[in-house]
Amino acid sequence: MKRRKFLLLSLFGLFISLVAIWYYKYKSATGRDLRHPLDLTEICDRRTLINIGNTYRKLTDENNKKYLEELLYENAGMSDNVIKKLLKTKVTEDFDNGNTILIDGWLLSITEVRQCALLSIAEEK
Amino acid sequence: MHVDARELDNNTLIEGDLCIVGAGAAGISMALDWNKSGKKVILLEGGGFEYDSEIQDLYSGNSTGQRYYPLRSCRLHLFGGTTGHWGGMCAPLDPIDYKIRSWVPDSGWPITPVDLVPFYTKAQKLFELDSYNYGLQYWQEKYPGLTPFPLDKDVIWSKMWQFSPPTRFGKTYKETIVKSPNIHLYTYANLTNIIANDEVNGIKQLIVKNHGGKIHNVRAKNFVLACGAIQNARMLLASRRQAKNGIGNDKDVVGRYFMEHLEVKSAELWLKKQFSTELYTFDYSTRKPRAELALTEGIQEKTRILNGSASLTPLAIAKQQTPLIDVWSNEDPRISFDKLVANFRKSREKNYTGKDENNNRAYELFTRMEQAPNPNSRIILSDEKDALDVPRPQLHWELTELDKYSIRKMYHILGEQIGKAGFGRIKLEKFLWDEYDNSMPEKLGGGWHHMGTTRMSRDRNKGVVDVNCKVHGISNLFIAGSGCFSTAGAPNPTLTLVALSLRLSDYLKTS
Repeated sequence: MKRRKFLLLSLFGLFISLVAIWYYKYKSATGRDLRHPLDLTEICDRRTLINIGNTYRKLTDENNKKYLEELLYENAGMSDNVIKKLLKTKVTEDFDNGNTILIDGWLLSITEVRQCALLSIAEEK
Repeated sequence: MHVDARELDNNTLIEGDLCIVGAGAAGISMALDWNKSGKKVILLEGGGFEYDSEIQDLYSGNSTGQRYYPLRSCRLHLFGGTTGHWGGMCAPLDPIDYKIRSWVPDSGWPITPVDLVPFYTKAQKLFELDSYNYGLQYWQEKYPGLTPFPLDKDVIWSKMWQFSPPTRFGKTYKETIVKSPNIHLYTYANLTNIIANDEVNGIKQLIVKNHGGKIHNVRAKNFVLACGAIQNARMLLASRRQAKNGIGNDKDVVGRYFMEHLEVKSAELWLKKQFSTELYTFDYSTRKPRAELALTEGIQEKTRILNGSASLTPLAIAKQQTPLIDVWSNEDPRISFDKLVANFRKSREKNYTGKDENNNRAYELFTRMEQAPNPNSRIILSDEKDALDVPRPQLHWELTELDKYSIRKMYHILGEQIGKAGFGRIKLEKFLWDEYDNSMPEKLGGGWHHMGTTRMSRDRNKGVVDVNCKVHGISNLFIAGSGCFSTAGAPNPTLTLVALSLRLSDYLKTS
């Protein structure tokens, strides 16, 4: 009986650990995606991205991590691929719809600027 | 035949069928068109075959308003005119340039692109260019590497340019002119006055002078002023013996609507990855055609902006270049030209190693945009006189809100399209950041393109010449050159001004 209980407890513990690890990994990966505008990362260095984020936060009231995450997530669910696709689509749509903003001279999509704002918040911490 | 007017007896009477004043691109093109025609053509040139400082000084003048190049050095006063230092960039006007656009005051030409096509074809030959074909597809067949950016064709198109060697008319056509049996070239014959008949509806004769003090009279059936947009206006305004406001200026339009091209570094294009830009970059060694990014007619109409285009230069090179308005600052055109060449050369030699990855990913976007027609942008006469007693010109170059708005909007559209296509981003120059700032930066220059001072219009209140380039109200006085442009269009004017002059020549032959 004791042995059986031990095994069950161990399996439960392992399950909890795996869930925690998966969740942690997922969260950080998703967070990374949110903070790193895909196209812009290939053009600007990290410092420039942070500066863009800083300027945007000063220009608007979007200066809150949770709020910015909500704006970026929408109803994207929790998968990595989904959020990447969503952000890419949103950036293209922004440019198509004129949903753009001039920050430090850069003509950018609102979505990617919000991503920069998240990066600048993360950098402060 | 060539005559140095300084060698003639004082008060010589020169007579012919057609008198063309000015031996630059317009005047020489017209004269060549009359070669061996059996008609006596008098071609008057104020200078000689070589640069002469005393002659060049006749072009001095002042300017106010938007900063501009010295009037003394932004044109050349000798046989061949300003082709002596031009760059050779050629492209025709776009169809939209001829149209009346509700958002561009005083826009619209009284002629259509079709009217100019046969003369563009002839002009191509004078500039030693390829055939009159500016379609991208045509050039891609010749140069398969010419690949346009993957942008929405309904918004952005590739405007093609051809490059003349550049043809220096003074050198290339001197022999033909001098040996012509019917073209009588008079050098050192500076127009100083246009004398009309008593009714001031026809020109009786021209007065020409030189620094030696000799004065000659020129009579012809028809007279053509082909001295450039600033000088043509100046001479009409200065000829006040019978008309107090100047010849052809009853409606106070002469000298107004001075236009230039707005040329300024406006943005940076950053590509995500290297992309072939062979189509867009200029190759000095081959001078093969290249394209500029231009907005379609539909998008110009939708956004109510002027016509313009953006050229690409690798950023590493462009960053080393001083703005043209700062480089071309000397009153001596030879010094300014040398400084311009040195400016280009230094940036290429020192900074384009090809090792830096950014060389192939980052580009300067340089604007070339038409200036909106503006009656307050104008040439007037100064109180000061030149050595031949002709009042000097004064330029007031005035730009409008539409000019600034159009540049800013063009780059917003370009930026959105490039972002949408996902291959890069655009960074605008600081002068374009504030949408409420309508001023132009000090670094903005022109293309040394003077247009519009004797513009073409059916309405005498809006233009100086009619559809045939004849001065309204004067039966035998015509204007050749870019002064007749109703609107500036985006491309450099030389090809079009020669086409327009050849059209005038054709009209004079057949009328």
